[in-house]
Amino acid sequence: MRDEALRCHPAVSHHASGTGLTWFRMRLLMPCVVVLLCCRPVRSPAATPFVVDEWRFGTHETNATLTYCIDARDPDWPIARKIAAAVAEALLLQAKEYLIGNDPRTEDMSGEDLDDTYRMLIQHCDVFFGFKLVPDAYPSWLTITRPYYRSTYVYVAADPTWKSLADMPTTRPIGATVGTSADMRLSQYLLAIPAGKRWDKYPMSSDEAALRAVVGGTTGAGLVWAPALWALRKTDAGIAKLPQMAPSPLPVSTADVGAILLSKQSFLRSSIDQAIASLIADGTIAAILTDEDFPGAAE
Amino acid sequence: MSAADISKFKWCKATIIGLALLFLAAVPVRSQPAAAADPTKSLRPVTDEMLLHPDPADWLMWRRTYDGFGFSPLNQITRDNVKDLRVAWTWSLTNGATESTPIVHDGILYIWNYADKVQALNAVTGDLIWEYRRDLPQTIIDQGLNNMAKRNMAIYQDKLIVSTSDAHLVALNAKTGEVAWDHQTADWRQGWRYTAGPFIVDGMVLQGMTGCGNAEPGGCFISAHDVQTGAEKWRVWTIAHPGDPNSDSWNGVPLESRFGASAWVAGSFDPQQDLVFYGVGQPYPWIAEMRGTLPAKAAPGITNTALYSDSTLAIDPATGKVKWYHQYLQNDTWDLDYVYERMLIDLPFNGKTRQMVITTGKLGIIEALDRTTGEWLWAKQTVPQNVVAAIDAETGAKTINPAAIPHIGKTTVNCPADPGGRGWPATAYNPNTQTLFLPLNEFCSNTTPTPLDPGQAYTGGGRAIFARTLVPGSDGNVGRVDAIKLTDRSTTWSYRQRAPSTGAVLPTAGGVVFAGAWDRIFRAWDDATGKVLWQVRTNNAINGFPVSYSVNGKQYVAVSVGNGSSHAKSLATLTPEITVPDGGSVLWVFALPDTQ
Repeated sequence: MRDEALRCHPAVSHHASGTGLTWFRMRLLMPCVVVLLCCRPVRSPAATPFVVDEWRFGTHETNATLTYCIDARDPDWPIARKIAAAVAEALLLQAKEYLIGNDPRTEDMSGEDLDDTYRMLIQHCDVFFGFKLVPDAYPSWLTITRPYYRSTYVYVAADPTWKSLADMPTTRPIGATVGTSADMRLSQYLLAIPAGKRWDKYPMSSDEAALRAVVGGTTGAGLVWAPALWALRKTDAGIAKLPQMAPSPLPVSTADVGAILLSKQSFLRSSIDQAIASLIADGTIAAILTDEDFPGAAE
Repeated sequence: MSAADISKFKWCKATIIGLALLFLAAVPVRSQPAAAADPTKSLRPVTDEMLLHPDPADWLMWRRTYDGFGFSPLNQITRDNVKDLRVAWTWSLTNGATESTPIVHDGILYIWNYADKVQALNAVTGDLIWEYRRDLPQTIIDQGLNNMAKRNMAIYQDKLIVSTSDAHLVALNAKTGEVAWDHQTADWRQGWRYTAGPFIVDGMVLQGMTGCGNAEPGGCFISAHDVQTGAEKWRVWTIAHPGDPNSDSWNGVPLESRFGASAWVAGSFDPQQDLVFYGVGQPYPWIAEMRGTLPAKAAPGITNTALYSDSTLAIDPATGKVKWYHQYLQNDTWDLDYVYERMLIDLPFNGKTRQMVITTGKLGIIEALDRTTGEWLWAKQTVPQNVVAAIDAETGAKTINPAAIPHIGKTTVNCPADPGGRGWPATAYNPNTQTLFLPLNEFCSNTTPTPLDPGQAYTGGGRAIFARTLVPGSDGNVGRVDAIKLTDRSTTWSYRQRAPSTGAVLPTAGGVVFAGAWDRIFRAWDDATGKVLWQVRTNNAINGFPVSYSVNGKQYVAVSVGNGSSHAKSLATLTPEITVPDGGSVLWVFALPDTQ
């Protein structure tokens, strides 16, 4: 197995410099992917999070299977599920999903930090879909694939006559989901405005809390992740009525979304990257987004 | 002897031997003769008087006494004989973060294991008397990490009272381990959890809640419970709510946008004043610009101090009313808690003896208040820090170094880093020598506020990268144990070492101070000089609160070791060459040889 894996590397290196994979080339790569899936990286104690009795988690006996995690608490999880299945199919691997968060028995990520994803990746899945590409935000033991879609952060308004943020009186506060890149961009903008001439900004614990604060009148505007608004509009009539407004005077904030793997899964990451590129090139991902009327673009 | 007699004799002999064998088979095997005495038979209910004036042989609460000293009055182990200390017994614990403080009473040692297993052990032999295993939700077990560690338990009357990882308080029969009552305080699914343990005051169970960075409206609380049933009697919110006189201290952000202020360490009690002292942790998210308390709002009556984070609360235990408070660090933007043990010490100050409450926050600055009024009295710096530029000698108000304040889009340097110049491993005080002993660490952080938004709810305190480094010009040493003479606040000695300090300190009346570090070494120092008198290499990081007790006139020192504490793991990144095993949590108990 070791020799087989070694033989695969030059091919990966060669193809990684191209723009995508043909189905024929992906078929050639498939045995290598299988080999790499079976060989879980050796843990480096200094670099990875502490997991009690980590020996309990053996190799993923997946054979020709791509096991992936989807978090049902992510608003885009139905999209991530379809894209993950498409990636597995592109790699000629059987798709095996581990769904987190839709059942109290599997609601097993605290979300406090990324340490939990380490346990998920050694225990349940080879790759975990639904993570934004934020520079320098991930620890060295994690790597992230190329993005499979790009979406935006959007402002919703309490008053439909406000066509942009600039129309909102500074007496009304903005509720922003705390810690997003758009929230931080807004914070920087507000810091540059003299006191008394800027909006107050309330940190909100979630996109849903930010939207409910607008509905409830606590805030005049909400700054949320567009896929969250997309998901909540389906289930909440009050939120569904909230109009969007342009972010000006701020620019549009975007974020790319991909999947995470353990850093040592470099071959698998490369294979998934190439599969995503291929799925974008042939329109598969765009079709998934369009079918769901999802606020994102495959790029 | 006739044939019949012989026959009868043989029958009797066979019967006696058979009965003897049967008896032997039925009696549990005890390997140590001394263990034959069942300490549960002589176990006395713990009274208020015992808690107020504990037997020197016992260790009845987290810091042993209500004044929070963490000092043992036992003096059989001395500077002269500590070199002869030997292992008396060991007991394997559940693997995982092991930050435990044993409770010892009448020869029984109660120990908390990771993942909510409680055991009663014979304190002389280490034999198991009973065991309680919490049936935790699988989710909590899978999450693991530090959340299933507990730093202390409480004992009162016939009950051992414990807090659980699923936010319950449970009273166990101290003799049998049977559950007397089980009270749910909050919903763990919302992030509430306990890492500190309960504290008994005036016949009530007091308990601080943590996990309040997890977006719970209104933050954390300290609650009081009926010791017979667990029913809640009062609750003190640690974030100022609407209606609170300090509600306008959050820069105008509404209650649903105020996070943090966990009460994750047990309190102290002044019986003379009938006043409880609790520490409160930092606000969340850690970066003030992200949580909306910077920039400061220009509006009358609005401040951005974020009360009651990083404060001492003086609470009337009868009503739960806050008599006074003091905030040590306003608008904390570094994760530099002031939550740790409060020591109640009477010391001379400006020619008068003052009743003080003394604590040391993560900044490593020792600070004293008058515990009757909350008046700030004095401060003393220990480890290198660059956050506080000056402290007003009259009021204690701190001038913050603007260069150390994190800003979105920048990387700034702050010392110490977020695990603190001191962390949860407790300081301790020897009242005989009026000396405070502190486990300390020297390090800094390159701090960069960072968006980290994988799409889920905000459920944590982070939102910044804290790249920890040695202090500028460091000689490579990270860990320290300091001895400070509190009467004049002079440093008596300072022991510096490469390995980070990861356990609490234990001074004893024998003139010895015990403490341990990440490098698995448990040491004893001469408390007057700082000379190392004894050390032992254990199997894992020293990561608990050492205690000392005696049974039948023999003094023991007990300390738990183990890997998994997030505090220790953070410090360990500074010394990557020092590694410890993943597993192997153990309670080590030491004593002098019997010949002594």
